[in-house]
Order: sequence, then C-alpha cells, then structure tokens
Amino acid sequence: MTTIIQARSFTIDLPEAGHARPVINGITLDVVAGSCLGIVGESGSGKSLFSRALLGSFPEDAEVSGTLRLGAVELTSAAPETVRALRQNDVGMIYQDPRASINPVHRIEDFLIEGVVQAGMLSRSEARERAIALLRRMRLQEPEAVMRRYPDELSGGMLQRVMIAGALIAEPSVLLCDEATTALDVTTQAEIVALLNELRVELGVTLIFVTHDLELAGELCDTLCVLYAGEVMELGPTAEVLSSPRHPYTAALLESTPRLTGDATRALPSIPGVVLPLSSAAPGCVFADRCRFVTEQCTSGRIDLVTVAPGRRSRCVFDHLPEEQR
Amino acid sequence: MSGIEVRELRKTFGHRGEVVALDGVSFSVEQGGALGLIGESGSGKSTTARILLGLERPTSGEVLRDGVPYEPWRASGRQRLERARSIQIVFQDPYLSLNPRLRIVDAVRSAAELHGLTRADAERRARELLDEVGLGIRESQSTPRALSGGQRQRAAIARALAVRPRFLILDEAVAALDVSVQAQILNLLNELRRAEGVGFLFITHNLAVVRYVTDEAVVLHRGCVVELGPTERVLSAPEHPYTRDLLAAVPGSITREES
Repeated sequence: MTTIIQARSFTIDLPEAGHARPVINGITLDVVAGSCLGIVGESGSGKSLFSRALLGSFPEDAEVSGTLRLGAVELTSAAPETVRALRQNDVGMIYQDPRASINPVHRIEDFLIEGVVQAGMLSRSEARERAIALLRRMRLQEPEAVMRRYPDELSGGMLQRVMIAGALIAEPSVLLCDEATTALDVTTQAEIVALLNELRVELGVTLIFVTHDLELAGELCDTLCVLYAGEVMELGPTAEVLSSPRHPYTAALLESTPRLTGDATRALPSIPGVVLPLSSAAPGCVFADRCRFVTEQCTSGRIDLVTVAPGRRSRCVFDHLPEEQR
Repeated sequence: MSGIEVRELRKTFGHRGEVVALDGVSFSVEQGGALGLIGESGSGKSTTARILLGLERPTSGEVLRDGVPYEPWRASGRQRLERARSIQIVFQDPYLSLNPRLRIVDAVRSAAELHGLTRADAERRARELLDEVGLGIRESQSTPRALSGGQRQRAAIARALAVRPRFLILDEAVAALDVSVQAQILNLLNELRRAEGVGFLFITHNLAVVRYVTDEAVVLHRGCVVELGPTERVLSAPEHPYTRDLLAAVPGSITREES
C-alpha cells in the first residue's frame, strides 16, 4: 500500500480578503494509491478549494501552510514547471458541467488529443488510437464517429464520458471528480459511477470524488472525509461513517437527506442556521452554533480531530453521539 | 373538478413535427393538491410546465381549469395578469430569475402591486410573505447577490406567492441546494401549502424528494405518462419497468435493500 496523497496540517488562509479564519484549516489525511476518497461537504465547506489545491492551484494572495504531497511533488512549494508537468502527466480532473469546460468550436478529437500531442508525449496517430480506445472503454458507440462530432452534438451523459476519456488520455495516477455526476439524470449518474468504479479496478487510478451527496459517495468511495467550514469533521471508512456517524454534523446531514424509505409524513429534520461566515472565527468548534449537542466545552477551546475507533477520526468533544437522538 | 387538468397534451417541434416532446399526456391536480412530475432530461416535464404557463402552445390536447377549457397561450394584455394569478413558477436557479438590482422586498412588492394592490397593501403583503418564508428585515433589504442560495430560493418563492396564485410550479426548485437547506425549503413548502392553500406541481428528477411534498406522482418517459398514482404507491410498489429502473438508479438503493 503506497500513499499517493498526503496532507499534513494543510491550511489555506486569505488574510488579504479580510477573512478571520482560514478557508482550509489543518487538513491531515492520507490516500492510498488505487483507492477512492470521497470528500463531502456543503457549499462553503472548502471541498472544491481542496481539490483544486491537489492540482497545485491556490487562490491568489493565499497564505498556504502545512504540506500537501501528491506522489513525489510537494504542492505547497512546487515550481510552476513542476506543477505544469504534474497536471499534464499525473492528475486528471472532471467537473460538474462538461459543457462549460470544453471548447464548443473544436471537434471531440481535437479536445482529446491536443494536450498530449502538444506536450510531445504521443504522436498524432498514437494519440488518436488511444483516444478511440478510451472512448470505446467509456462505452460510447462508434467512437470514430464521436471523434468527429462537436460538443453540442452530444448529450450531457455522452459528453461527461468524453471528459473522463480526456482526463485519462495521459494515463494519470489520480483522477479528481468535482461534482462530476451532479448535473446528470439519476440513471446516467448510475452509469458514470459504475464506469468510474471499473476504471479504478482496471487501471488502478486513484479517485478523489468530491460531492455534496453522501449516498452517492457511499456507492463509490472507500474512505469518506466530511468537511465543514474548511475543517475535517469526520474521516473514516465510508460504510461505517454512513451507518454510524460519530460527528453530529455528519449525522445531521444524513438525517436531512430525503429517502425512498421510512416516514415521509413528518417534517424533514434540517440543520438550523447557516455556515459560519468567513468574517467570523469561532474559538471552539466551527459547527457549535448549529449543533444540538453543544456544550460549554465546545465553544471554550480548540477541538482536535482525534481517533475515536480504529481507522476513524472525529472532531467532536463526544467520541460517540449522545444517546437521545439515535 | 376544481383544479387543473390536462388532457392528451401533445407537443411536437421541428418543421414536420419530427421531434415529439409530449405524446398524449393526461393528469390532474386538485386545488390545494400536490403532484410530482418525475422524469429525466427530455421526458417532457418542462414542456408541460411551459404549456401550463402559456409560454408554449400544445400541438393538440387541452388544459382545463375548474373543468372549463383554459388556453393560457392565447392570453393577451389584461388576460396575461389573470394568467399569472393562476399559475406561478419557481426555477432551479433563483439567481437567474430574480432582478439583481432590486432589493428582495421591492421585487416581491412590485409583483403584488402589478396585480392591483395599492402600494401600501403590496408592501404589507411583501413583508408578510417574506416573514412567512423566513427572511428577516436585513435579508429583505438586500439584493439577491448578498444572499445565500437557500435565501434566494426563499425570496423566489415569496415573489411567486405575492400574486396569490392558485398553483405553483416548482421546476427542480430544490435541486441546486445543499441537503440541509433543501430540507428547510421542503418543510417551508409544506407549511405554505397549508397556510396559503396553493397547489403544487413539483417537477423533479429526484425521486426521494417527491415523497416529502406530493400526494400524487406522474412518471414521464419520452413524452408519455408511464405511471400515475399516489406517490407512496408509485415509489414503494412501482408497476412500470421504467419507474423500477429509475428507483434502482438512486444512490444507496442497493445497500438499502440489503439492510
């Protein structure tokens, strides 16, 4: 088991923007090569910032501290050419809306092979061959014909398959998926998730799956990292986190998710309040003012992410959720 | 019956009608009732909504309001206001549907004013509604830019309700929201339905969400109704294979069956 991504107290602060607390605060985690890490969190949790950091991209004027290592590259201090090489060879990324990240006036073929040909990694014909093989692997019918098409001639699901092929053409070791299936229909989403799972098994590519949908993360991820206000609230094996959450935030998220089974007549439990604004800093837990189990201890001092069970960490004064709500 | 009924709605696009968006869609929603319109991209959900709003003319078929033929697509001048009082819509992204330069309270007030309320009454109605959807004085005085996604959606709902519509079409209205906010909005919708007596047409591709806000559900597939019935029955004992496929594709459905 080799560790491919390692973060240690990784922090992004934007003091220039007048923020009272870091946007990413002390993320510490390891990702084993070939595994799938799910990063879940709501708007403002910092999940997209973290995934962009894995591409070596930080906000302007950011003060970055701690370490973030991908393979042999220390991203927080890497030279621009190292970062460029990393994006070219080692990390692929797909986003929520494929139509927003593909040039509409170029054919699919150009989109797929331009990068690797320009970089001198493959000849045009080699790249073409690999692109067609990848499209076929993405279960696109008649890949040669797809190569000649323009983005607007393809459906959302087809285009997202093209994007995945594009992300994989340089055979990266890590594939970042930022809400990659959010805009798709539920059946198309299921197909894409099945495809990603296959790629992981067959190509051994490491997946970082960023989503706000816990159930979806449950379909694919080995490990789940629950982010809130830039901090890791809970980290552990997906099945365990979903079936017995240790952090009140994880539990509240799971409870407010509409489900196909169970009682639908009562009001859906929701989390009162809003995410702590960046302009205010909390002396204790960042979730304290929305947490129904809040104690004095929660707001008086820093709460650390601690091991609560083998392989499981939680940032809470309780290592188990208090009884009444189970 | 009192409410909205659509009969055999058909809508084709293209010069020769080669693209069939709706192929004989029939369903009804009672006044104060809530119907879920479920389907994937291209199933005809939004075309149905556009016809009910009068933005699209059906190729054939009819819409009845309280049992009387209703043709919102023919409305002109004054009739348009009347049409707007029948059915309002809330879209997925309120950022695109709220005027970025108007304060929220003004956006809601101007809608009420347009529909004949005096400025003072419209102002009162706006304050009342904004309070009802859970927006405080500070949020009401802000422009959409200063609000969160959930707050904006509350504002869009308040604006839609300003004219006291009989029906509210919610077109993927909670799809872009985080689950904790989504839960708040779903609960709000249920409260509003009770308080205002407004009927819902809830358009979504999220099958779990319809359980919390609708009594009846229609499953659309390629412009056809493939299943129709009480929401709980459609989701727990689906009869059509397409409904079953949709349910099986919902994340977590496999693990749920095992447990």
